[in-house]
Amino acid sequence: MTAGAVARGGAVALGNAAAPGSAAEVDGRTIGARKGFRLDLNLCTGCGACAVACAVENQLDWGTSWRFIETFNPAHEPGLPHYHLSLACNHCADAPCMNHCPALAYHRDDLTGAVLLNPDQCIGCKYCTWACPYDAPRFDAKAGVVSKCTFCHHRQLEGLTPACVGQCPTGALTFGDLDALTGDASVAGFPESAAEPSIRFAPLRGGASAPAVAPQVASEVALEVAPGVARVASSRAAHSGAHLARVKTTLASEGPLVAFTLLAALLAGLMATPTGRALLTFPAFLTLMAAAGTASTLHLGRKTRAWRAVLNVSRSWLSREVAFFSLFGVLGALSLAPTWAPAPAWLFAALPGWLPSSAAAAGFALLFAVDRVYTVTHTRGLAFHSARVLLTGVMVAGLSAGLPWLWGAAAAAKAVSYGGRVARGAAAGSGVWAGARLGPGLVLPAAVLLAGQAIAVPAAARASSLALLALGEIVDRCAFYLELDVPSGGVTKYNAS
Amino acid sequence: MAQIQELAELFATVRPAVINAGFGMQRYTNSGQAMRAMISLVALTGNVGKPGAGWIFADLQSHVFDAVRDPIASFPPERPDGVARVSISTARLGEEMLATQDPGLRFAWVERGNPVTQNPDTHKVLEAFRALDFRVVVEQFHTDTAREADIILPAKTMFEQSDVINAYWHPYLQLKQKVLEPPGEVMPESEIYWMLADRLGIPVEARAGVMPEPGDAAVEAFLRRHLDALGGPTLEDLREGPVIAPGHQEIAFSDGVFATPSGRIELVSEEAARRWGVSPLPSYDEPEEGRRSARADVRAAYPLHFMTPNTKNRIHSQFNNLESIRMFSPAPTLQIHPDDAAARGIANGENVRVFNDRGHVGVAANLDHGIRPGCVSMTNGWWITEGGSVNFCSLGRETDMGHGAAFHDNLVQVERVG
Repeated sequence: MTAGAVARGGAVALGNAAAPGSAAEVDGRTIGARKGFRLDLNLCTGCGACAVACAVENQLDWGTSWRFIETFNPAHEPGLPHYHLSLACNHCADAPCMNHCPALAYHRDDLTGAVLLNPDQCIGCKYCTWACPYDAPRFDAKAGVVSKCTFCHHRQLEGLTPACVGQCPTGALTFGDLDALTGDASVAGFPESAAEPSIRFAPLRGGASAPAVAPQVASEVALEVAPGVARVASSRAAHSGAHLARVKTTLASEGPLVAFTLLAALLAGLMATPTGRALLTFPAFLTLMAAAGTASTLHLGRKTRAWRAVLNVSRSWLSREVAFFSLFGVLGALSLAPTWAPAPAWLFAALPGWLPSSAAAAGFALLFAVDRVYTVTHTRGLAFHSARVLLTGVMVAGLSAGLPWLWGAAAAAKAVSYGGRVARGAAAGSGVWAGARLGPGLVLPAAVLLAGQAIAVPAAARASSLALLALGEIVDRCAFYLELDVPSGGVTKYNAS
Repeated sequence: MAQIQELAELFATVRPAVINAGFGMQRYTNSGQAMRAMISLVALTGNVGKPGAGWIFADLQSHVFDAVRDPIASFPPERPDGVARVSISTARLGEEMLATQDPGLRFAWVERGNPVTQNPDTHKVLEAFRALDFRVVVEQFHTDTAREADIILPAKTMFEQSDVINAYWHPYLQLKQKVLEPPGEVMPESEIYWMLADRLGIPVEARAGVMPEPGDAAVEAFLRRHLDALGGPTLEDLREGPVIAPGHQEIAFSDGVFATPSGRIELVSEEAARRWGVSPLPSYDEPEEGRRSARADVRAAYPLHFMTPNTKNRIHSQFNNLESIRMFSPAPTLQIHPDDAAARGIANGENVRVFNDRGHVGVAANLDHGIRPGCVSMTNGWWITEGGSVNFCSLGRETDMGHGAAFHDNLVQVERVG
């Protein structure tokens, strides 16, 4: 690799902040000290050399890098600090990407401490891009897998610093034993988290946070000012570029998950009670499970590796979701098989009686896991979001079993939660939309169905009420994904100059 | 006012003190006198010839092979051999090319430069180039100038021929080693000349000492000859590393020798008046096209001062066409103060048109409190084909001293587009 060969020619010794003796050893011997980056905010000019160095070293497509630079206050608004954050991957001691990856595609390299992703094992589910508070892993749509900073692990093994550090012209970005790096663990603009990122910051010195000279008003220097110019009171509108949230999830991108989660809620709800199970035929169950499984696989970048999704049950709710889905499929199929006319009776005679109940349990374990998957995000009001599939499953169970107290309570909980989101301004969509979801989508059909307990209600009215409820659930689940607030700390531009 | 007084106090009393002029302030029609004024401050406070004191602009002590230090040498008087030699002012390239008569210009050979992008008054330069019968451009990339060529000859890169080089910022001579063979049919300019000389029937004896023969050995011999003539470092010395230029002074003027008629620093300089027509004292004169000095109707139509500085991302018009630079320098922007933008209904990032009588350029606006109200700034060097050539707006004027190009004597208006 020519880039590597050139880099070796200009080698910088490892650990420019490390004391002799604690510096890493190479060639098979264990590196003891944990390494980290250090960024001095007083020295970083946002020049972009680090991002280019990364692209060159790793032979990335031009225009992409594994290091990102964000500029704060690019308009130099007086009284506000102006600085840059250059961030790649922080190779956290408790790395959320590695913890949550369902496919066990991440591992920690003991020699360098780097958290490394194996692109041959990644299934492209993008869950790590949700879990990382620092937006380090990025999905490459062309390759169908995620990629991120490797800590220049290949350079560290040769006693060199990461390429970005080597190219920094001001010495703002350095690298060494984390214990030996001075500075703060966090700085304004750098999300705090429990992940223990391997990075330290030298914060802006007091005097550097605002210019010492007050900004000149044009009239003070006796220059002509165009008549009618009003002094701009605040140019916070001019801050574009610095804090543009990078949209990582859209309804289009997560569409398959809407289908998957709703189908899961429907099936789990129906399988919960004998009355509900009676509504499902064996072929229908299989078909709908196949549809749900296909939908969730459609979300992956590398669909043929979907089987890997179940590997990390010990740590990842996404793996547990896949495991429970599979278990539910098997138990549910076995529970329903005896009802299927073509099935030979002797085949299922030996099936235990607890099968249907265990299928029901597996179904609700699945719904619980589905909801837990989203706890890595920061959805506004997610704590009790009306579109939680567990709640939807309870409502389906109550409706299919004819238990008005159950589904009525679930519907009421949904209504309250939805109302709460609207009141907080966290709900996607306008007031008209909110009214439509709440009214015709929930309260109205629920009222009709509840009334049907006491008075005679035409079958058509019942059917259309159920249809409206279903439609309302679809709309709400779509809203769930619109309201997903997946953390994205960085901007895609490298230098807002 | 208080701040100016404070600065004066500091500069008068703190020793040693240095003024770093920064490149850019020489691009005005009054910049020579302005520079003299600042240098006078340095002299008056005794900050000449002492460690840590003085004046930083360019350090041309490494320019030992040419007379760049004396700009008059760029405009040689006619020699008695009768051969017409005309030097055209870089600042007024287009205008003077067109004005050249008896004979008029018919042919241009351009190499190691990009005048269509980088010289003032692009429309004029284009007009001048297009009035010629024939144009040859020696170039690596399809620059704005290359696009005007009848023939483009592929140029070598700096890696493909050895040379001894100097600098603007430090006093070292360096050997720039050849490390690559020119690809394909590319050949160094010196070999192009040699082959042209063959075709034109110029005898080999006439070429000796003026251009090296083709081949690395001849280049080396050529370099050795010039180094020997200097009595300076040998090629072997330079292969070890950079060598400080012969005659270099670590601290300028530490020997107290000044190349003036009186042998002293001349705050009042009759020589400056004679050579350049400026006041003998460093006076403040308004720039020709300035916000206070231009005609009232010009100021009204074009109230903004247009600066076109360099950027770290390029050397003039080089390098932004490379992917690695474009990664973080994707498009030109205009720095404009939020007050000036608000007055024109311009939001951050909006496309605007920068224009005056001479031409216009379209660009995205970047609101910036760091720029003075009444001034706008866009870096020079973007190509016309990249959408950002600033010299459509500039005029070819020389600076008051030194035949520089006064790019920054430039008033414009800015308006939203669409």
